Amino acid sequence: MAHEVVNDGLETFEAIFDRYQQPIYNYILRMMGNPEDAYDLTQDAFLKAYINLPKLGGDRNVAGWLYRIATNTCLDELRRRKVIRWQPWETFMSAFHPRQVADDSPEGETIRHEDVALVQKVLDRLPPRYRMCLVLREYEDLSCEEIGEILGVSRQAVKSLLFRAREEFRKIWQGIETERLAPGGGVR
Amino acid sequence: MKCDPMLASAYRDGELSSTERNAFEIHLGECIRCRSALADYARIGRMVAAIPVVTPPVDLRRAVLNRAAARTRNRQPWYVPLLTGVTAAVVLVVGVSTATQYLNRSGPTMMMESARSAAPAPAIGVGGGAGGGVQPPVAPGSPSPSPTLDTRQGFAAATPTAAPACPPAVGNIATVRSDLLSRLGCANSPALQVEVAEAVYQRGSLFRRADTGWTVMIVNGRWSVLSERLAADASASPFQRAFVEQPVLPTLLGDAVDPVKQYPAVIQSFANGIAIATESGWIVFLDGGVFERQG
Repeated sequence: MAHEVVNDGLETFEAIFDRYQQPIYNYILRMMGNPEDAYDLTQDAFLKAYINLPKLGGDRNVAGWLYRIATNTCLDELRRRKVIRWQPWETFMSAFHPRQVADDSPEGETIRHEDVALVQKVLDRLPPRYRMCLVLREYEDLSCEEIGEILGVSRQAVKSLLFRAREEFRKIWQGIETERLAPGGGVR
Repeated sequence: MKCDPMLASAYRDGELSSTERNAFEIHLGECIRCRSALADYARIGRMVAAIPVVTPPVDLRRAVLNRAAARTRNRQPWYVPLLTGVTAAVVLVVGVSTATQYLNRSGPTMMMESARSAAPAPAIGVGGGAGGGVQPPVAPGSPSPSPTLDTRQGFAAATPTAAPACPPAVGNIATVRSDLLSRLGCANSPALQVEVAEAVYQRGSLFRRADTGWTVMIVNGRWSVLSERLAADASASPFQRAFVEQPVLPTLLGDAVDPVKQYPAVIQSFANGIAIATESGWIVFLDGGVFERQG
């Protein structure tokens, strides 16, 4: 009902929110690993966006601007906690009704639920900046240049971060696979 | 070419120049380490991209927009409350002065008759009956929502209980319940007269505002928005579409225990939630999902 408040800025903001709430929420969910944090931090990120809306020039890339705000919101929170919380994927999945999980990705149909759980587990173990780069590149399909704008680093730095993120992912993944295939091993 | 997996990463991202790319592709044919790295990077990419897209919680939109609206109110210039107070004082002084002159000229009987004929009965009575309960709205079923209380009536009536820090609002339905107002905060919309529908089931209920289609589900004392604009077919139950769009509803709610009720109400948005006054009492949707009904 807040949209009934007569305010041009609020109307513009509503349009931006409606367009980007899903990608930003999912990005933050990937970053934080649990729906409670995603819910809170998506609110915080959009409120910051609303406050800074007057500074957004007409030619600015709104998506990049929002991802940057979301990224900084997540980093601030992780710094504040000084700890990276690891949430099992099952906890996250159980918080949602199955209908709330879109099934429109053909690749999603071929990946097993167990693998999805492992992917999130590995992402959770990556340093936040590695995780951000990987999610922005592979999940959000952004270019190195766009990621650089969001993270406030050079394109070359993004290339380096992506390489290290992939190598770290590879290492953790191999460790988990080895553990899983070992006698008596399994997904915890 | 020197073996460097970082080139495989850059190759995947399309970050190599055409010369570098050609050289790397030749190198790939003879380097199992780089082929393995590239295959793994591609697999990682597919796995990350395949994480299912999740629909944000249904009440996220309202939570964000409410916080933005509250922020707008809090950003008003420092002199606005002052001006509001000054304006109110001027209105009061002028009003008292005019009334005094009028009283002196016409006598008390004439003034009372004039006041009755000029002012329509407010939709929400304030201290107008036993216990100051909710009165039936003036014009139930009006085609478009309209403020139910004249600003002057609302503020005159609100004086005893309204929080003084709140900016002006057209009407204020929570003024008859100071305990409600203290929890709801300041009004951020006018009080609107609307038609609502309510359906009660074994394990919860559904509530829909007819003019906008805003529909919420209440289960275990918690509420969540099912739809901001749920359409309804005039010939069917106002909630039929909800059951079509959300097949999980029968499981969550169980069987209907009463026929769908449709009735006029007065609705107002506040900083911390929404209050709805009906003939039988108050319905309060507090931010954070707490639902209350008070007779």
